[in-house]
Amino acid sequence: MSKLVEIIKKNLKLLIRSRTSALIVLLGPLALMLLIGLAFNTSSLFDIKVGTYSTSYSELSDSVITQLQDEQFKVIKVESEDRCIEMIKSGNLHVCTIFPPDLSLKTSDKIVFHVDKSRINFVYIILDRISNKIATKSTELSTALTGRLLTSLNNANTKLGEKTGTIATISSDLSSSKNTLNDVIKAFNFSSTGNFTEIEDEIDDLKQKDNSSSKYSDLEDLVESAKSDYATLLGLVNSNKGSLGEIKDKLNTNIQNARDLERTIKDINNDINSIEIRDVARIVSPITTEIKPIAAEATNLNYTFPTLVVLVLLFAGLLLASTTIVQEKESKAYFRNFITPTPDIVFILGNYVSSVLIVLFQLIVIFIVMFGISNTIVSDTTLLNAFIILMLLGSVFILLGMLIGYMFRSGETANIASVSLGALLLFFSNTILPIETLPISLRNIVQFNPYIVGETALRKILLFNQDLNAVLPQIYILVGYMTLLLIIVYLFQELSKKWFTR
Amino acid sequence: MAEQPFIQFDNITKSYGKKVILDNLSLNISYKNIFGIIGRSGSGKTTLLSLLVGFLKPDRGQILFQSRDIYRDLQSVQQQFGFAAQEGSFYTKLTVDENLRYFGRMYNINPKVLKEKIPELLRLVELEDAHDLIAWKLSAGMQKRLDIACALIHDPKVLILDEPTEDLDPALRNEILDLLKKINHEKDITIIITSHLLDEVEYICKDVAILDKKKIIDSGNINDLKNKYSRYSEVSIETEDRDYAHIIKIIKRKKDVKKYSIRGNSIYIYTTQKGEKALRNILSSVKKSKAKIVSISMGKPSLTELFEELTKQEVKPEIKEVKKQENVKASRDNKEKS
Repeated sequence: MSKLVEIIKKNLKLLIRSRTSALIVLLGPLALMLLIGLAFNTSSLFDIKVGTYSTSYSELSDSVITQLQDEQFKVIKVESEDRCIEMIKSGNLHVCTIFPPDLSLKTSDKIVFHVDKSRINFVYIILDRISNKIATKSTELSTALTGRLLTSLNNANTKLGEKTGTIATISSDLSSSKNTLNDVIKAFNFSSTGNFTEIEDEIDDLKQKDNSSSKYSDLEDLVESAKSDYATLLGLVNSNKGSLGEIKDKLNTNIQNARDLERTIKDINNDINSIEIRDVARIVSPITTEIKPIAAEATNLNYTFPTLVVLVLLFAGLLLASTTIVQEKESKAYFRNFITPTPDIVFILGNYVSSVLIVLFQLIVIFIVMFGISNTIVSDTTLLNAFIILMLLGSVFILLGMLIGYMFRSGETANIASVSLGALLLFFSNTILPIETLPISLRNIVQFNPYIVGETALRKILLFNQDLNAVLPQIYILVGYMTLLLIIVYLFQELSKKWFTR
Repeated sequence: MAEQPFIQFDNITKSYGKKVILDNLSLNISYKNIFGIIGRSGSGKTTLLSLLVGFLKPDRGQILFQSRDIYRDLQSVQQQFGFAAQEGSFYTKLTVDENLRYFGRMYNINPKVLKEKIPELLRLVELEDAHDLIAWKLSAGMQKRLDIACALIHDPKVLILDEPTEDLDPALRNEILDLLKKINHEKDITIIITSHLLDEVEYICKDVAILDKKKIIDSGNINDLKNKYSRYSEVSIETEDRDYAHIIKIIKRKKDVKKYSIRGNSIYIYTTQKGEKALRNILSSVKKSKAKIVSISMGKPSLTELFEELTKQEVKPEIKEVKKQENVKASRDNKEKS
């Protein structure tokens, strides 16, 4: 047990007495945690840029834009759909919203959101936020539409309620009139017409012409009988005149009532007709959206491939270069190299190119495996452009690794420093958490992280098939880093020579 | 007109931070010589060599090689220098051939020339049979020879060796020293060697420089220096049992004996008496110890003695050796008594 304690004590002493190692081992992870904790201790998104385009903005589309705009989302109206999509590809926009011309609730057109699905960990966050905003607006509209519908129903109900008495009166009056009419019809149930004078005159003429009265006596009896019936009928008519007048009055009243009712029904009809949205689906969900990826649909592996390659490059470059340099420094031959008539820069370039070749080999293997798995077909130009970016990015990581190698004296410390730097670059990239979750001031710095710069350029080339012109800013940044690092590496090599002699 | 020195250190001062390592140091080294720079560990020998090969720059002063300031045209001067550091300076994971080819290319030698040159060099350092062996698999002596071969690959005019026999056993030390003599003899080359193992320096070098307290105390031909500085006669005795504790006990009482040391199998006694008298006096003392003498000789004091004289300090490792022997003997005597 005492031996164990001694071993532990010895190890701790060795660690503490190697100041750089102690600093890196003890404070490195803490500093990393602190930085990352401070940076990502928020659930907000910052400065999300939403592009919008429509050939004709309507009131509804403007209200949706207003809904989208807040302290997190900045809405920018773009001149064309293609430009809007291009701006996503170039990283100037996060989402592109295309409103159909004259968007209204009557039409069934969809609002299209173009997103970069290759940013897997970001696209769903942003879509969720936008969906919430759209859902709020949709609920607002749905409530308004349902309210309008219910108001119409209420109005119809009130108006019809008011007219229930009128309808009852009409019904009662019509029944009564019907009975009265039946009575009248019964009373009029005879066949005599009552116009007998002409008949009697005709009979008299026939008698004179025929000079025979006996022949017409039956006829005259019949006429007399008819006269009598007619007289009876006339009496009946006179007696029913009042009933008919009564029926006439009622009918007049009811005609008036019926017209009134017709007007009410027309009002109700108009009211119902004035409801524009009567489709159930539209009322329930007045705004419909569609998500479109800006790159061709692909598997998650395809989307994450640029990130994956950059990740491999990051750790391979840093660890490989730092290990190579530390090995060289620890090598017995280190001293001899510097007393040969060989400029120091040649050794730097030699180490750099060696690491580049190894990284290049790794990249070729990764590309072959990747394209083998996913059966992706990439044009020669795209592949060449991707390799140019990867070589630039790899060079930056290799030079960073070389710098670590020259800065630290032991392999262990250099490895810890490389892993810590790699972790830092990784955390402040889009791989684990989107940088949109960082405060803007910090994001302005972090966007120059070579990891982000390289990944952005690679995504543009591999996922959006863009050419090198589209990634010129990234190329300039990477070349700038390379130049700067080369100078620093040279200076540190000179310093390491001095340390070596001491 | 006096002949210009082959290599000339002219008032060189070098510091690491506030610590001055070399202070206003001047030294001349002549052509095709085996020149030794002796000094204690940490006296600045390696710094001096690092300045010479251009790995370091002096704070003040200049170093001239064939009358040319080496820093004016460092790369062409470096082409003239070969250096073998205290620890071998080659890639342990490369083979002997690969190391030589690599350093040959670093010295701008054409690959075709190298192809002929490497076997030739391997023959010189006797590593022909190990040409395809990985360097770390070589024995210590072979590694040292590889290191010397690496330093010779570009046919330098000057071969610089920093403590070349450090960490080697006596047999390997002799092997390396003989190799250096052979190189000096066969090649048109000046050898500069640093060491704190003074008997080796005396064995191999004709001229030496003594580095102490940041300066060269003196330099020149070893015998001249001995004549210049020696105040004592040196009597070396080898006895059959090689147990010198009794002898030491006796000679310690003698006023004329100023110093003694054990090197190798012999005891070296330094007396103020001269000539035959000194020899007779010592012999009588040895007889009293009843030790059987195998050999006895008298001569000028060794380089070690000279070094001690000039630096006014005893050579600690050797004194320790005597003390240790005394202690061992005392404890053996005590055991026998009990």
